[in-house]
Amino acid sequence: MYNYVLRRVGFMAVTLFFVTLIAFAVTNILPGDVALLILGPNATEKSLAALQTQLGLNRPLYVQYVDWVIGLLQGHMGESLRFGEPVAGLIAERLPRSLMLAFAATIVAVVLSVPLGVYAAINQNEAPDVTASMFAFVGISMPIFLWGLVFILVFAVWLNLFPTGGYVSPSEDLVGSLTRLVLPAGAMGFALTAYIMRMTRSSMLEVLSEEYINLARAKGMSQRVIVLRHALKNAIIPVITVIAFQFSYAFGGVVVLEEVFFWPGIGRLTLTAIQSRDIPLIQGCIIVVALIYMFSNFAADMLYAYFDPRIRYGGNE
Amino acid sequence: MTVEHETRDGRFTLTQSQRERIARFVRKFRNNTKAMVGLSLVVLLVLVAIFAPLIAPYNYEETNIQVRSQAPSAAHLFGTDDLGRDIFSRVVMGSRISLYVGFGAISGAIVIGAIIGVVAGYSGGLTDEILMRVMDAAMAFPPVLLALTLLVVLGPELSNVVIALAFVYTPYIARVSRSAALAERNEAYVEAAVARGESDTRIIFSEVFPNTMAPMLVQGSLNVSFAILAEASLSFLGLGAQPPKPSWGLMINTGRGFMETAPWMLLFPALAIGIAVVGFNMLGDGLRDVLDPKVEAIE
Amino acid sequence: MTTHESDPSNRPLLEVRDLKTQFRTDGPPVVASNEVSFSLDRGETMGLVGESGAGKSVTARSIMRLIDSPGEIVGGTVLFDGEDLLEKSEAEMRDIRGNRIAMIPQDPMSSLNPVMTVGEQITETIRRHQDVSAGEARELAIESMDEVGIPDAEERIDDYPHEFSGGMRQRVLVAIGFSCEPDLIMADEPTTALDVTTQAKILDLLNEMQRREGTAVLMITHNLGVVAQTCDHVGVMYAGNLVETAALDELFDRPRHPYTRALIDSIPEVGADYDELPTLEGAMPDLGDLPTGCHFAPRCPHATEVCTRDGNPPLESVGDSSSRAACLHAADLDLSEPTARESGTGRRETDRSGDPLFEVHNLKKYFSAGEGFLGNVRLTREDGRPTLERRYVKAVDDVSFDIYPGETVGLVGESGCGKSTVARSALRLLSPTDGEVYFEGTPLSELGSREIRSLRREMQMIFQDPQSSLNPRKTVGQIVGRAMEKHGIATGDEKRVRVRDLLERVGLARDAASKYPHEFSGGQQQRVAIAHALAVEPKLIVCDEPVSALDVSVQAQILNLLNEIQTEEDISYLFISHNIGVIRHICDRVAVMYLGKIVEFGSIEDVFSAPFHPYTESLLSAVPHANPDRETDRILLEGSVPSPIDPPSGCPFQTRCPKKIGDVCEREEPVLESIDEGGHRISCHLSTAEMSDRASFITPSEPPESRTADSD
Repeated sequence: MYNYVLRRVGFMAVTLFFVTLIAFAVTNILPGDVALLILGPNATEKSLAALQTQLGLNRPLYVQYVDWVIGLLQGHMGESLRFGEPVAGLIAERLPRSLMLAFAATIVAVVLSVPLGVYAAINQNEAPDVTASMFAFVGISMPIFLWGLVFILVFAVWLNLFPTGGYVSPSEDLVGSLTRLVLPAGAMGFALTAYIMRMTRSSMLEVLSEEYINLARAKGMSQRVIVLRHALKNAIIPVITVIAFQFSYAFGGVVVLEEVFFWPGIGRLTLTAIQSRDIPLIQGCIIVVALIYMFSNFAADMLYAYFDPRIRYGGNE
Repeated sequence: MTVEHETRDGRFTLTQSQRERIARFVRKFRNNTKAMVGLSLVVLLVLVAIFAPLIAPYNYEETNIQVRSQAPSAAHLFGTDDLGRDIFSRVVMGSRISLYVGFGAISGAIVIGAIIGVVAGYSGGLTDEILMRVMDAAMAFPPVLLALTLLVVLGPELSNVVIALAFVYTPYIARVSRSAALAERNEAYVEAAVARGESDTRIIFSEVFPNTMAPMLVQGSLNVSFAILAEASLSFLGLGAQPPKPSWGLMINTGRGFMETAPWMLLFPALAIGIAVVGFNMLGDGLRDVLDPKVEAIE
Repeated sequence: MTTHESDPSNRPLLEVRDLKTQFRTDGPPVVASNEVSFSLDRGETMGLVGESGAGKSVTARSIMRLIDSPGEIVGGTVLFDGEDLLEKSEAEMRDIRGNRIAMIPQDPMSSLNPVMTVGEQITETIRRHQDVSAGEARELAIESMDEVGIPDAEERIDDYPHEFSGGMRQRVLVAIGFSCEPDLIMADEPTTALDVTTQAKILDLLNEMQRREGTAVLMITHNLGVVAQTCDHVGVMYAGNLVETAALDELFDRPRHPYTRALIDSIPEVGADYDELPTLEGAMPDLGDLPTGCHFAPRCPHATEVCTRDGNPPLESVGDSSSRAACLHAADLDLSEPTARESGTGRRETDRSGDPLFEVHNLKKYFSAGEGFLGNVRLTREDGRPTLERRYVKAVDDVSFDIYPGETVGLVGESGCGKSTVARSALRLLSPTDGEVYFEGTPLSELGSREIRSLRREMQMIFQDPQSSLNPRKTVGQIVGRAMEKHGIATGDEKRVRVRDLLERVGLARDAASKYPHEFSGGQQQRVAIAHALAVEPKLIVCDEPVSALDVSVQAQILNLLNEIQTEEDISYLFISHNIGVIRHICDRVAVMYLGKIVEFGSIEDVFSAPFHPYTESLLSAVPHANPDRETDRILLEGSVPSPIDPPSGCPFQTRCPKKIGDVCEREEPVLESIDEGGHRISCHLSTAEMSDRASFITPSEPPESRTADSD
């Protein structure tokens, strides 16, 4: 198992390198002049040049890159052009809020979709399967922001059950915080359900067609035992990867969803940064988001190793 | 009666076997409800997009303050928006945008992704590792976010949306084509080709590639729906199509402010997106069912 | 053997009458089990024999009511201890399964749940059917693991399936089967996935368990050798019908159905001399496409017009014997003699006066022991300090042999011994780690990749799985033609003509060229592969288990074809197989491999006679002979094959060798050296006398007219 972990860490390091490369490259092929942006069109040549030197914009690209990476490792991400504050601080403030949203959404999705997927697989091609699949289908057929709007319309405006948006910190007001979480997490969770359910279903179907399930039947085991004890344990393993992937998908979805619900998380921050072409902030935001994705994948790999005894106790090659 | 498959009398004819093969595929496809429904929706969409100017009763840009924010009626099937534009016409014209982005982006992704994937899958070793790490790195960024960032650089224009999304979805296609190539690589006929003395390039293109088309088609079809959703999100955020273009996402953005007073501004573009996405998803799913060789073992 | 006594103790345990199982399709339903009737007494073993697709597994599963949609049991009765199983409810069947009727399935790799411990899978069965506590169940499980010969049962009960070897896993399956002391066991090809030596042990185990517990066994297999070693009486199935039942001796001495005769004939025997195998034309029909009349009539050498007309002949007693056969002519035929063999010329002598065509010197091929770039790096402790080391799978470890023009050299050994890797490395489909390969005197390592590619014309390969060796998207003509094009042998019209000629040569129709591989049966696909190999007129063809995936009757056809072609074109073969009978039949010289090394090499006569390397001896003794009269005293090996990543010190076989001398075997690796002038080489520390306990495994060659029973 240790070798498995070692290898995964190695891969992650390489990928991480490419991630920083991409993040850096994407924001540095900007047409237009950062200095000009800051100082406005009336700036003099001299002040432009001065600012450029100050920001280090006329050094060769690879030097800028290395500098940036070193800064990253130390936790400095530069200063936001729009807010005038350190990027790291801005992100640190918003990030937990988005994480909260993504976690809640994932939990909603898992609770809904795993049982649904199992149920659909057992009753393959019959009514329950078809309805469940359709339900899931509907979930992925609309953009997430639309579900957000629909949920607001239905639950907040018409039924007046929940507030339409905004955020309250749980430390201030737990109940208020949770009620504000329901709609966005629900909307996002609903959108995620489809993938997880389908993965669960297909994983279950694959497992149910394995030879050892046949043997379990030949031993006289009941359907319930077969599904819960034999099949699920096997089927859940690939589902874990999907759940992790969905978590990161949720994180991507927050960009738009936070806009809809006025949720002051990293998504809205990134959007603001993009709209104001605030390079350091953009870089910081996308790197952080990418890192979270990578770590959630890593966590998924570790869980995978834990649950699959072939990897955990592996090595009788 | 078999006919050799090359030109005879200048016409390209198919052998009996090939005909049977195609017939079997068509039959299977027809029997699969999902695929048929999906195909019908997609065909409907394409037809609407092609004949849009003929179907739309009004010009999509034409504003008419007198009739603004009107509920659906005989004159305006889907009602009018806050500037008096006919929503039906705008939705119909919007189909062109969605299809343009959908097909455009994914075609680009398939071209690049397929090559990367097959080369990686077939070569194995260091090439494979490096290529896949790069793909993994690209996939670490959520699609919409990455596209947004690219659009900052490229400029918020529809054609740039296509380019950005093509880049964003390339890794997903590459993944699929890589695993397909890997599966084929282990088949004995590839070894047989090597034993025959074929060069690597020839093997990749002539032997492996055709057998990886099926999974790529499936993935591509599903990705078109992602691309359509992504375009909607991008336009919703104001960084995709710019007004007055009738992008469905943009229409929803505008409609948002009038959600309670004029919900039809939101409803119809949303439905349109839904239909398009469901169509492509069903087609992709159905294709996957049809193309998957199902082994019916009796023993 | 059906008795209608009402006294339960005389009643057969299992009485199957007119069992019919079919599968719904788009068209008419496919009948997999067509009114099958037989019976089985308590404590008896019955074999159900047939080729794949004959319906034996379906019959067995029907008895246990394990048939799912689109299959359904549509007729008949299955009396188990007097009660009709087909009438029982699902809940009642669940109580019977695993308890009174248990199954031992085929593939130990996939039949055990990988995420449950072995113990859990045994105790679950026990607790399901017996009222015992968890602790008691665990004790019982440990006991049953002991009984099936799993060492250290008490520790290993908490291990997972992947931590056991294939043979051990099969023992676990046997343990699960016997755990609730059933009255009847269905053994569905229980040894097919195992090596010969492991198979021998498992069969012995089954025999012993059966004797001890008095269980009746229904043994399903395609291997008549297995039947001969284990069964009391036998049923033969063909295309869904039970075509013969007989007591074991009767079946082999005097089969009553022509198919049975043909089946017995097509088995290449270890003890038999080279000769052309009598073959049946064609292959067993697909169940969806059955001929009218007797299903076997199209291939039957004794068929007459009446056979093709009136539907399937019923299974009836023949004369006054206890056998039953489904043949209209059964009473008139005497099938006690093997079908006359044709050529009888014996093997051609190879001319070894010139230079060898192909030489392999000290070939080594090591693989990285893990996936990917960093896969084989391991953290280990050396002298207490952790170090990183790269581990390798030593698949081929210093192998040398040569092949002369026109001869067939065989590589035989069990799975993992490296024979396939030798072939691939020699052909440069894999690059060797060390050593040299010469083709017509030229060392391959000195050739550039372009030169190697053109040399490919001379060295071709035929693979084990015919289905995957043909590109599914190309027509047969394109596949075979491409080879010709590539090496500039023919193009355009000339190429097309040649392709058709070649297809005819290998026994296919000329218009096969425009069809796709999946339209052909396995045997026919292999013929296409042979045509593809022949297309470039090679001097050497490497055959990697070319008949292992084929049914026995088809296997004989392909072997005959290969022999024919060799005689005509003077091609050399490097023939790889784990099937000793096949090797015996087709090879001139053979190398026995174990754990990446050659332990014995020589002509067939030499290797199959004294002196023997101990491994060769036990390998040859383990083969189950399709002859119930023949008792071979088998040498069963302890343990299992060591891992090629950590091979044993000294002689690779020393951990299991029944003739191990002592320290020298552990310290010093023996060298492959000649023991006579004839080129017979063995690598062992024993003296020639010590290696010659047994005289020979082959009988001296006799003229075909006077053939007596094999004797040892």
